[in-house]
Amino acid sequence: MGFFRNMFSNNRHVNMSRKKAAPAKENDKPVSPTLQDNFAYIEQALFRTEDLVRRPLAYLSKPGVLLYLSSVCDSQKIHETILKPMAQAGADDLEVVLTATLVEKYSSLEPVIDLMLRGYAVIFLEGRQECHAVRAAFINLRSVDEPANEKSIQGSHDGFIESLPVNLQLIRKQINSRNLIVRRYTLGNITKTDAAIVYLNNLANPEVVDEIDQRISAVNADNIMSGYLLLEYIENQSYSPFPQILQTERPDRVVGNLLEGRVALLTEGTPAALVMPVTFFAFYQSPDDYNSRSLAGSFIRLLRLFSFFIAITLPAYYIAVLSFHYEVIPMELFYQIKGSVEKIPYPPILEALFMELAIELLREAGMRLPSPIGQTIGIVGGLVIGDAVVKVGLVSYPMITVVALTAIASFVIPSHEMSYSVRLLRFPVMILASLFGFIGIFFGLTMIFAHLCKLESFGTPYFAPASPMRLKDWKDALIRSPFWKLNERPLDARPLKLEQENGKRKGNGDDRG
Amino acid sequence: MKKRWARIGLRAGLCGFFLLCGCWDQHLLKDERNVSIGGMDAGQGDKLVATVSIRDITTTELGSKDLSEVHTVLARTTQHARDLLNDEVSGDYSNSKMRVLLLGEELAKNHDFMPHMDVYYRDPKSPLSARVAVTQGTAKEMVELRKIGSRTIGLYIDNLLKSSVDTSSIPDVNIQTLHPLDRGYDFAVPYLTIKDSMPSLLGTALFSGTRMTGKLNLDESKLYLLLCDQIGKTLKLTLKSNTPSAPDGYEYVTVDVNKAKRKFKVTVTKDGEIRARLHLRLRVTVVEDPSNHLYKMAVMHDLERHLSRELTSNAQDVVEKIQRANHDGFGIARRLMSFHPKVWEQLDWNKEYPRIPFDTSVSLQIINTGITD
Repeated sequence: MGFFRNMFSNNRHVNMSRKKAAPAKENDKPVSPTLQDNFAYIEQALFRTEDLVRRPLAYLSKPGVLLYLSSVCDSQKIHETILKPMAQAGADDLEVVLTATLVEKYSSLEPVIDLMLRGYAVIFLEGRQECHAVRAAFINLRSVDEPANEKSIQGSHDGFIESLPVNLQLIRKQINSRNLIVRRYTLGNITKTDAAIVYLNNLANPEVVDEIDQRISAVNADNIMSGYLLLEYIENQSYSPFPQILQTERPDRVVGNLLEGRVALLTEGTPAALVMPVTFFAFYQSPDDYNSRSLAGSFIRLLRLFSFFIAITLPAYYIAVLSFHYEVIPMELFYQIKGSVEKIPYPPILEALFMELAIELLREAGMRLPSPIGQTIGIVGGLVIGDAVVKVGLVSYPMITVVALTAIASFVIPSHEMSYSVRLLRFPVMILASLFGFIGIFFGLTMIFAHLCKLESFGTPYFAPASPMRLKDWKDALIRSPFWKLNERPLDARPLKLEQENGKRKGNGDDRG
Repeated sequence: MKKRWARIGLRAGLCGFFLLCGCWDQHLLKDERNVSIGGMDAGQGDKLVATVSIRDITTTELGSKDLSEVHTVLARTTQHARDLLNDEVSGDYSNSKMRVLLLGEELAKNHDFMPHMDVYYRDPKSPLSARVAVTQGTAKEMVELRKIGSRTIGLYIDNLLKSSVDTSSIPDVNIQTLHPLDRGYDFAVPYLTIKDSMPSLLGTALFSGTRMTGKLNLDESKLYLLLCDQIGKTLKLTLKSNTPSAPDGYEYVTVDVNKAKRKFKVTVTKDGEIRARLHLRLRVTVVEDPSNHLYKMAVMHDLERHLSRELTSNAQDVVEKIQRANHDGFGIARRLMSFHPKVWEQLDWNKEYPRIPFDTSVSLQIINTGITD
């Protein structure tokens, strides 16, 4: 069995038991007065990488050298902010001469090499025991477009991009409070990815923030290239079907959550923010709810929550009815269903699994293909296969209706993570339904809800406000009450200040009572 | 480590076994043949002639087509009939979607049909909401009509009975309401016949105990339901109006009963004589009155008085008829059982019931005469 253990354990035990190799002691090599020495050292440290550029220069008739990595530096910037000012310089102090925003002085070489990897150019001058690192990073940003997977009808149409500073700026733009705090991290032993958590100092609970901070700091991995990778390291239960951290590409969604006392984690290179701690219901809130009026918003939100039940139980219900309790179908429908089911050679569970599989395949295929072909797949899948499969006698018409309805219901959810989990969860419920009928469905749902009640997200209850029950918070969980009714923030994230607005207003003639 | 894996394997296996046992109860819709209407007739000796119609729908691109497949068996009991039918039909026989159960008149009149019902009250998948009706002649003939127009016989009779229950022409009975443990009153069931090879309603069959002993026509049946306080969604009465000299076509008036209030009292005098007082107060809308003089108050009151008198005499006829049939549809026996148990114990109910004096009266009030006046 040790064999299997090694196979499945992914070497983690081995890693844990082995003493962590102490980081190689950095031999802080000081900057040498001779140019050749410095260059040789840096070239050696970068293993003679060929994008290392060495540009000799002269400064106040003293020879010098400019070193940078061509792959991360912007030659335009180097020209504008380093070479040009240096050629025209009169003063001795380089820091005064250089027009770049960031110029740092170093006397040892190791930190300089790290900076070079981040897009700094380094100037060495003959005879000086120090060097200047100048920021000249090449910045290639796409525009802050609306994310394709989280479109909203009304409301702002900007979205996060792959740049941390831009994403931070998008948040700061909407919260002009000095309480908005950014804490930086560098993640990944090799990748050294920049990350930042953002929260409102006067709202977010310090215990929750500490917990998040601890979990992020405790991650010891080579590759934390993106926020998605970090997510599994810091969430509570990776084997739970429910996501415990909300991923979103919409700044307004993040801002809304920050104002409820939650924390957002942004990562360089990830066009999404991870919001934590969140509840189950946060995945069913969409910016559209808040940008439309409360009645419309409530209706759509209820529809979405209803879709959760449809997506999980509808195929299971149909299977249970067909294999155990067909008495519950009204008479006319009964004979219609019977007429179409009669010629199917398989029990309903196989029929359903086959159709679900077909739909998942179509979905995946449609996603992978370029959009013109993707549409063709949709047509082929939806019309041709849907019709042919019935004519051949593999699947019945009612089953197609059920599966299609279920698929649509699972796409309604505004979060992809939750949509995946719902799609996954319906399979065990379907199997239970095929084995025990309605009783199986109820046992399945009971287990799901028990799990939801037990689940925590960073020490806060996941299924709040349903469990623990707090009726006040239902105003923004099940429905979306008018904003002047939402006097208090939801309690689940334990914000420091509960009151968020005061609904009293002078004047009368309205329905505020 | 080995132990741990063994334990996990064992648990998974056990779970699998426990889960699989659910399949025992599975009965797949696609394997079953569903009866839509069943009929029972008396056979030779004590045997039972069971006739069922199995309804099938074949769905094609052109639409669906109804088919009715009829099987008849001669069996000892109902369950025996089911077994025989199962041997006869292709697929698993199932009657859990049966909508109507017909009883042949011969069976209802001269035999006790309750033993045949027993299995319906034991089987958990039993169609307890199936309507029950008695047919003139045999149930077999009725079921063998197969299709009326494009509808199968089961659907046709079910809808026929349903709409007539809604208009209070017949009592609303199903297998559940006939349960033998529900004692203290006698049931009445719809009475069907075949007219021009179509099922049609004749009225109500009255039962005394488990045997059919009398029948009411449709008019009497409505009044009977009023007296029993069992009206459906609507109830309309068409009666002769108080204008005897009116020309043809002007002599009837139709009223729609809005509200019926029944007062029913069973008293036992000191010397043990049982009396029943039945008073019905109706508030009606006149929906049809060709002579049309109701805008005059006096005319309307005259009509009220006249209709009250007529209904009273009709009601007395109905009561007399059901007493003659020894049919205790009002549940006098149940009242005696609960309020006068000592009297009840000493009674020979079947002899006593027809002799009970009834004081029956109906009063009628017109509260609406439609939109024209």
